[in-house]
Amino acid sequence: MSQFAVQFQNVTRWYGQVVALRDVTLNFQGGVVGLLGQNGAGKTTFLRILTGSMRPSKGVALVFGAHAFGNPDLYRRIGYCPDHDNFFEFMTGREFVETLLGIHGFAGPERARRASAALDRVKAAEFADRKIYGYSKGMRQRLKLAQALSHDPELLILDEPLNGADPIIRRDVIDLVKALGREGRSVIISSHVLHEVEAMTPHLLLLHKGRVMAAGEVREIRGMIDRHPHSVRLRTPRGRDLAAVLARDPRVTELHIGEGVVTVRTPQPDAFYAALPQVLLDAGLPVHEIESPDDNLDAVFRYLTEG
Amino acid sequence: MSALFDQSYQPWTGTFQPHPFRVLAIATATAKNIFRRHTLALSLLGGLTMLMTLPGAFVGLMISGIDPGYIAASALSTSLTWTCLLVLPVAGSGLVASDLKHNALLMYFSKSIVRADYIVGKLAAAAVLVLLPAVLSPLVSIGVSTYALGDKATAAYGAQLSGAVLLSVPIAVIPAIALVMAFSSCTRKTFLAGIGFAVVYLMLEAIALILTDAAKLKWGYLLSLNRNVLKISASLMPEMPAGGARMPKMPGLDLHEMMPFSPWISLAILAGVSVLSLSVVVWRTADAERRA
Repeated sequence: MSQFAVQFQNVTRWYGQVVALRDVTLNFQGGVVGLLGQNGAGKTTFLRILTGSMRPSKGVALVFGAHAFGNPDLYRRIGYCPDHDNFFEFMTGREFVETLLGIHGFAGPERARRASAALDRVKAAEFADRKIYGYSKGMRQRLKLAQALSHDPELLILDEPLNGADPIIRRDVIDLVKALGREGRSVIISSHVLHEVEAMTPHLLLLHKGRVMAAGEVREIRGMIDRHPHSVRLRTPRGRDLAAVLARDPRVTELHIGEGVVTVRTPQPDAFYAALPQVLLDAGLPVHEIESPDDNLDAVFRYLTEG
Repeated sequence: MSALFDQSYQPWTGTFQPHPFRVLAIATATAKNIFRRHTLALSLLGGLTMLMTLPGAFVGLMISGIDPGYIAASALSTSLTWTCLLVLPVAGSGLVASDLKHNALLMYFSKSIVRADYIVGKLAAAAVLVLLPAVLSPLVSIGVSTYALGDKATAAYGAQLSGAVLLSVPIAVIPAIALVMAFSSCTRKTFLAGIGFAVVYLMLEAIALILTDAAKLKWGYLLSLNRNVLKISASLMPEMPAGGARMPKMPGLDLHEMMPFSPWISLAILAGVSVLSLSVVVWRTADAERRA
């Protein structure tokens, strides 16, 4: 049996003339690792190969020592939380999780028990008996996590789990990922935002234009990142009020107000992210979404490619 | 000192259900979802399909002595037409299209199933919704017409006819669902899949009629789903007792005369349509999964 959770040997994947992943070789033993890269870096292709929904054009992709593509028995050991919403809208959340457990081959009381446990774990139990079409974005995010966790997989693959999430979900997801890592599971989280990943794990894998640009501890690339100011985009119905509050924050160096959106730039992202929930609570302002366009990542990749 | 990792995770070591159970899970979820989304439409159209067919049964009641086999064939044909035109476009158009629309294929195929499980599950879901309106009217018609004749031998004959109808309807329904699934896998817009299927179905029936009636080409009937099913059904049906003709022997409607081909040819055509349609579904879902 392989000692590695994931082994990629010279994995290349192309779509026609476009190469999405180039000659990627890596071994991942376990724990929590962040897969970081900009849009189009090859993260999704990497994850699709891992989940077995895509065959490498060249090379070998092994998960727990077995070929990932076309290996349904292996997929019981993998939990996948996709980036998109993929639901049966006319089911309740509980029915949805139970259905997917049924597709995995769980039956009877075990299926119901697992669905309840997963829904409890992601704090979705209170709305689990409502129809999915009435769910908010946050509820849907929790449900996606519940279905990925419900069959108790050894390897969890989370594709942009914090994308567009509100502050409460962000905190819950971060806590959940840390807890899963502590339990001894392997977790791969993709993101294009360093600070999101950093909150969950110090281990990073940087993808850039289909290549593994760097792999290692987050502190090693922090120095590069911190030379560049960070953008944070907050979606709120009270943009002017939020801008007025954030303008008083000494960590904010630039501020733009758009249609329901406030974008700030800060050279101290850690301190800004740490203080933000309290600032919002004190001001009593609703924020529906926090995003980091993270143009600073571009600078890191530029730095790495230029050596 | 506290442990950094509690290592409490233990993988599941119990037994998993076999593939048919997983197919059933897909079928149940899909059928529930379609029925909940289209409860009113399916109930109305299913009811309408049955209503359209039942007048044939009353003909049986009124014209005592008519071969119930003829009534059964007529009811089967009418029921298939309305099922394909009304019920199937609603029940089947979203089978794959809604998964494409909601990017749900990845959700399915990241679970421990193969593509065949997915396709069979979807097909079974539509079959559950379509079989009742398709089969009920011919059965009622047979019941009424054999009751009208009112003797023991005819009752046994009616039971045999019912068996033949019960066998024939799935033979008709599976290719029709496979075809609507093929349409459904080619678009994210369910209404387009439904309309596309209904138009193609009607066109084939019309072309078959034109070729046979106007151009006097007997092979034209091989293009018609209904006629192929009736041909198979006729070969499954017994002869009417007490000198009754083999079904359906009525002036102007003798299938064996109209379609002088082996029922195996009809079966091969329907099987071919099913295989070809499901191949389209396999190709389209694989392609959509790759592009998702």
